[in-house]
Amino acid sequence: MIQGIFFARFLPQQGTRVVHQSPPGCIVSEPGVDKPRLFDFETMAEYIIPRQAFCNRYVTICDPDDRYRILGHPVCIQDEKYERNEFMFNFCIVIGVGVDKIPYEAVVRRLASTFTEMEIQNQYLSLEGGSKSQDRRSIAALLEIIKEDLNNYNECMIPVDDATTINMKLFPIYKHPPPVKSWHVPIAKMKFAEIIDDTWDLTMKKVIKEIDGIKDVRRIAHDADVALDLTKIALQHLLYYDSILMIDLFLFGNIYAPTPSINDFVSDKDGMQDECANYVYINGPRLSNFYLCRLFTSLCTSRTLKEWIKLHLDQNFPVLNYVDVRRLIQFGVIKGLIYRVNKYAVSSQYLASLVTGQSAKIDRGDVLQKYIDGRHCFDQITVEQNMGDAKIMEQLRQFQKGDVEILYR
Amino acid sequence: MAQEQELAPLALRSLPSKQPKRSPPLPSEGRLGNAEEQRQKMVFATLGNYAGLKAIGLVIRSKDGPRFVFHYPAHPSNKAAERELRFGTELDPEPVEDDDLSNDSDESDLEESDYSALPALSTLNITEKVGSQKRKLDHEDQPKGDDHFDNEDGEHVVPWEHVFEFPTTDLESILTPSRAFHKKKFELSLDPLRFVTYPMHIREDGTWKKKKKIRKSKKSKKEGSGDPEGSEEKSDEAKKPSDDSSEDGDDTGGMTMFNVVFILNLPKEEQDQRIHEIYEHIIKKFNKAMNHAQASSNFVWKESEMILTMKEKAREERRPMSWVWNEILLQSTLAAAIRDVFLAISNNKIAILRLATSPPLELSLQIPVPPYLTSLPNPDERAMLGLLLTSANPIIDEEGNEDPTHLNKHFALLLLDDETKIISEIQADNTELSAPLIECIRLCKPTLSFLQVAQTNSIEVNSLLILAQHLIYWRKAIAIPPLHARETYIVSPNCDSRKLPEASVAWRKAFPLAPSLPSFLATLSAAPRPYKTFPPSKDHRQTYIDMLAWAIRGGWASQLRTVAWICVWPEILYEVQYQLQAEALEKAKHKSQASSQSAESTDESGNDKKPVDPNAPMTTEQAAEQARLYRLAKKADEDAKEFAAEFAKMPTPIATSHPSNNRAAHLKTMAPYIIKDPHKVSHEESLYIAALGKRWTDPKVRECWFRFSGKYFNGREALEMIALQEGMKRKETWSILMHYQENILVCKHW
Repeated sequence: MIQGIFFARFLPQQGTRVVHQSPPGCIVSEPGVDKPRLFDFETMAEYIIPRQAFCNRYVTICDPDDRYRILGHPVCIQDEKYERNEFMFNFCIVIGVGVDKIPYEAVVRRLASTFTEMEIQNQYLSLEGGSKSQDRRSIAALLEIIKEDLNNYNECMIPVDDATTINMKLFPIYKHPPPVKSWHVPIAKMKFAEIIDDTWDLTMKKVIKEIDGIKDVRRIAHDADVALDLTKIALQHLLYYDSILMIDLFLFGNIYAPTPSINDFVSDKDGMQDECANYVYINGPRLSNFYLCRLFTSLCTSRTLKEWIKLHLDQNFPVLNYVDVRRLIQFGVIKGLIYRVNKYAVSSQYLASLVTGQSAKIDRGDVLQKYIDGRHCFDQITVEQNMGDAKIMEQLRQFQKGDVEILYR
Repeated sequence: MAQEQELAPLALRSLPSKQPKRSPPLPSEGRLGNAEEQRQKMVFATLGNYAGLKAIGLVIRSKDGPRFVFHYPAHPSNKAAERELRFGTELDPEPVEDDDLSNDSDESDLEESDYSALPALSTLNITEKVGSQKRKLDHEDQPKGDDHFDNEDGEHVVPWEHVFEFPTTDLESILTPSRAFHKKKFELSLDPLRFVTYPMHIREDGTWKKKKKIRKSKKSKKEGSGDPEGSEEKSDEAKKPSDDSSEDGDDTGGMTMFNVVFILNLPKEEQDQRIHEIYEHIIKKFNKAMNHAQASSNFVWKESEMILTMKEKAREERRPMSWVWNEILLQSTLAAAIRDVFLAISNNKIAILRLATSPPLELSLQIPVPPYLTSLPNPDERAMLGLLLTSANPIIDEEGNEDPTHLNKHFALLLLDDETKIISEIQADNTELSAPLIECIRLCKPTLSFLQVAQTNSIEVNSLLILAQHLIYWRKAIAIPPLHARETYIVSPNCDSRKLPEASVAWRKAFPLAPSLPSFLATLSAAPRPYKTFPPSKDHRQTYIDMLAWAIRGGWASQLRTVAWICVWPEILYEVQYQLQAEALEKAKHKSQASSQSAESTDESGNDKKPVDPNAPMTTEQAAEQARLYRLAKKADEDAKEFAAEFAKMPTPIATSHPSNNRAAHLKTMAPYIIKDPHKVSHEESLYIAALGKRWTDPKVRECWFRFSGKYFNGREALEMIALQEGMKRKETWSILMHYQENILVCKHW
């Protein structure tokens, strides 16, 4: 929410002055307005039009009471036609200190660049109020519209004169998404079919078509006939807009273990149990939620899903008859109730060679050598080398006996 | 060069104590520098708390106007804060894109970054990625501008008169805010840098000290000439710091304000939070301390005057900047303090300042870091690899609220570094706390709870806790549940396997006869089982406990803790239900008898507002009322009969020895029930607990059931803590818990 917007100039005789402001009287007092000003302009003036060294960059300053932040982009145009050979101005936006300032940065930069250009072309700002400016919109009106439109619609489109229109929009900035790994599996968080249209990027459309919550990134790239790195970029875009999420590759040989958040599930926080039940009881009659608790709590760091199913079968609970295990695990992982215990291979010899810096080949070290430093999970090897768990283990056995250890983390 | 030479030894010293694999000199000398640097990076990254601090500057306003006194480092870089670009718990070293969101705004071309959302995304494309990698290389060149030179106009260019791209003459004016900012947060951003400070002005009465003092004007006040520097000095040589102490302490040189400015460059999305942290914990406190020092012994002015003099002299002699900065850092305690704060904070350490004021001022500054994680970072959150992961929170009070002043006395102290090393550090500090702290370190063992330590040594447990808290504050130790061979430990999913190569070397050094670190961790991770099964013999137990302590300290291992909820099987549910119905039936019987007896005298329906004269003849209303009551009673009676008949049909509950296996037909439709929080139970839930309690034949087991169930079977409290908190033997506790096995739902997690 823009609290105030103003246009300040450095006047050779009077120093830094506010020429126009909106709402009236928000920065400097105006006749007929007795509302309190947002802050004391005199205190802040030296940061509104700072020394030349600090001009032509994005400058922000907070008022001494730490209530408002002034976002500005002071501009200094040097030309002999001006008194003192320079013309300095700044279009500033005032927002609350707690307000996300990032979207407004582009607005401030845009105002500065547009008016700099207009000033250079026809002295739009310096001759303002003169006879020539009759057919233009006044800056005061402009400021008013910008403030109102951005506050109400988050965007504005304002014709300034015959040739110039200012288009601005407040864009939210999201966190940078984590990198996409080729062994991850994207799951859609929205129905893409409903929002996709012809204007979408072709690669993106191809990739989206393959997202089914089961295929891993590499598989998607293959099936969509798109290069892997392009697929990753497309998926990262989707991640950026929070329209997909990434989980690990589901296999029955995987190990999952509960996290302390499991208590939220057992105590049914936010009706989580019913949510889960609706998602996973699709194979047979719907059972009581108690069984979900039991399924989750019986996962443990040394039990593969296969063994876990066996365990329940031994206790007369045929899990697969009722529950879609993949969905159950997905639910747990997404909600943070359980985590995947990954498998890593570590070779002491290889570690030692990393420390000494000798990249000496370990005997029989082959394609797998680069994976055995404890930093590459089996999923990665599986996807990159196209090997199943059993095959990897077999290959690892070719290393020196007792050298390669398997770490579950 | 200056700060390069400075950095290496200091950085070594400032390796966090968290680091178990201290300084085994790596065999390969060639890569040493690089490896060292990488290790530093990794270490601090684990804490996920880059301050983004680029430089610290000191600006004052004296009678010569504003002066930029000093800044550290000499050649700050203005690239955005280096960050760990890892997310969640990922380890693989696949090159991650340099997140140059914040660099984009650096472009001078305005159009370029107009809509910031677009540049944000452009980093996703490949060409940009290559570009940013190139840019990264650019930053790694040698510090430039060490020497003076004359530019085309014949002007003397002094290397220290530019900080970042700004001339200090401009900076000093913009960084000396007016009195309106006195003791207020001053936050100015000159894209991409942020200048944050807490300006200090002279008191309104024109003195720095609260107490009035007669000011002696020693020197004739000259107006600042065109070249302000050195204008008031009689001669440069006269101003050696050695005779500084003999200076009149009251000459403040007309200094009306000073300002220690922290210059930061942070990624946009976390700017505000980071600035808040560093402002509250560092900037404010540091400026306040300076103000105190200035007030008590004119410290800031004396030091500033000395630094300015040295710079002026060096300017005339055209000394290289590295030389000047070395000299200043050697001679000025203020400059050294600024350096120490810069190095400590940008390395996420505790800065310790000792200012040679009278009385000497000592303070410590730190941005607090969590000693451990309670949950794994989400895949979209920054990684905190290597930080201990545990749900055991030592600062939870009896009510379950987090209270930093309350340290659980059933926890144990785990030193984060070698005991002798910490002791020698504390000895070197030599304060009145040193002796008790050392005593505390000697007595506390990771296997003993604070309470046990206090009892065996007959000392006051509260004073022990205070000492322990002190060690925790100074990041010398953490509090963990006592290590015990009966407990189970697993490899932490948050462990930083990238450190394995170096850690293995340190491990080998610490435990030369033990299996290698990867092999130890592999056995630990293969299947969770009590730790006592790992040592090959009883004689190895102590070593194995030491190994475990080492692993936990480094965030490699974590305790697997057991939590439980009470699980009520249908058999019990039915039993309680049956009992409740029987009671209801009994009550109904009583009631119907009672009501039939008293129907005449009192109006059961509660309609006694109107006093009724029993002898008066019945009005039509009364007649109708009576008829209604009769109908009601009849209906109730019928219901009761039906109810009784229904009840009679219900099979009598039979208590089997294994309620979970009771397959009786009438229990088929019922689902087992979990009591979420036995501390706050409904009436029925309390009946379930009571019904279960009746089943234990052993009085001890029964007594414990009622004692434990409310406190520990809530899915939060670890069963491992019961023995300690109830003062029982572990073995005994577990054998009692085994009785409950069937009726509690257990879960194991870290």
